[in-house]
Amino acid sequence: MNGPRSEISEDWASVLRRAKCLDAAAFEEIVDAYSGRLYGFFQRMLGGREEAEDLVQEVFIRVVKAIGEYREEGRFEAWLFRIAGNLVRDRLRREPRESTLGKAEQDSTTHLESRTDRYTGGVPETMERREDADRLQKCLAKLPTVEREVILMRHYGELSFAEIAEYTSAPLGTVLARAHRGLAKLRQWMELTT
Amino acid sequence: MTDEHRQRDELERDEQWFAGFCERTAEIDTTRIKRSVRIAADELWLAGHAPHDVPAGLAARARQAVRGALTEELSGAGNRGRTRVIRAWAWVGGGLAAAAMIGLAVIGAGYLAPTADSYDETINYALAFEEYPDDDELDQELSELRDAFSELDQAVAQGWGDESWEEPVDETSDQAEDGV
Repeated sequence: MNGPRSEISEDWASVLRRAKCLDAAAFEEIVDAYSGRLYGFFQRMLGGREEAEDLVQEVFIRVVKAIGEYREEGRFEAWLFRIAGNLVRDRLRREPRESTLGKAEQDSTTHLESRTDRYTGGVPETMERREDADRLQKCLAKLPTVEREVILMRHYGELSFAEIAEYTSAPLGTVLARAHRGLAKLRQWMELTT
Repeated sequence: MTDEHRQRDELERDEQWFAGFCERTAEIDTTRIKRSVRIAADELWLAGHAPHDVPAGLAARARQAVRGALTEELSGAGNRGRTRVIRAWAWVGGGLAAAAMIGLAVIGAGYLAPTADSYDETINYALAFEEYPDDDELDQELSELRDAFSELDQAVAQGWGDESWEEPVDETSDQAEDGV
């Protein structure tokens, strides 16, 4: 089942209601809907593959424990990615940036190779995509955390700029500027390394 | 076109460019995650409900949690598994749980205190799940646990072995002979 993007469908509302009653099967549906995007978010934010898997699990455990506090007027994925963002912030506070950059380079190559192989059946396109993905990961790792966070929250979490501004307690203009600046730098670096 | 509009357009263009490079989802094996989430949900549910409220489906999942915890216990995973066993059994297993938990508490030391029948029942209970997919590794570990219980059964039946077993002294007759 795919999670909702902008509006809560009736099915999805039912899943969330069941989850609030601690129906374990409902949580499995939530895992199916969001684990891929969360995994991508963590992998791009921190680089480490195993670390990303652990954090995806941690997000869902936190969701189980806090689902009673979730209010349906807010978008579920905004709530979910706030939890994810908080976990990343905790992790970055505890762990020096340099150590995760190393993992980023090492892990992204292996992981993205297997991923693209699955999507394309191992055709020659894989190599080119893998190189692009690897370069992108390296460029992302060079960005300041606040810029990377906005870009990835937008991309994987599909959060609005207003939601990101609320989550980061930054003015909307600042968030827009971070995204604009960060993406411009990424484009420039990617073009330079082509 | 104002600066603001221009910047918005650039931002939109750059976001599309980024999306072209970076897929929005990544492949991840969710087996372990789902299992943890199920256990967390069941534990939380059980913590808020009396045993007689437990519906059949949830009881089965609680038993599954017991099964996982038994495996952790057997592999020496530590207190977490033991706690989970205690919690799940306390709610679901009733009187049987008490006897089983006493045994599990000493499992780390190898072999167990003499309540073998209860252990056997525990394992039969844990093995009686039809609704979950087979897990060879788990089954293997449970089988080893069953063997340990079986060994315990034999030890109990033989009075903990000939060497350690001593005939009880009949103190009453000694006192009578002293003639006091």
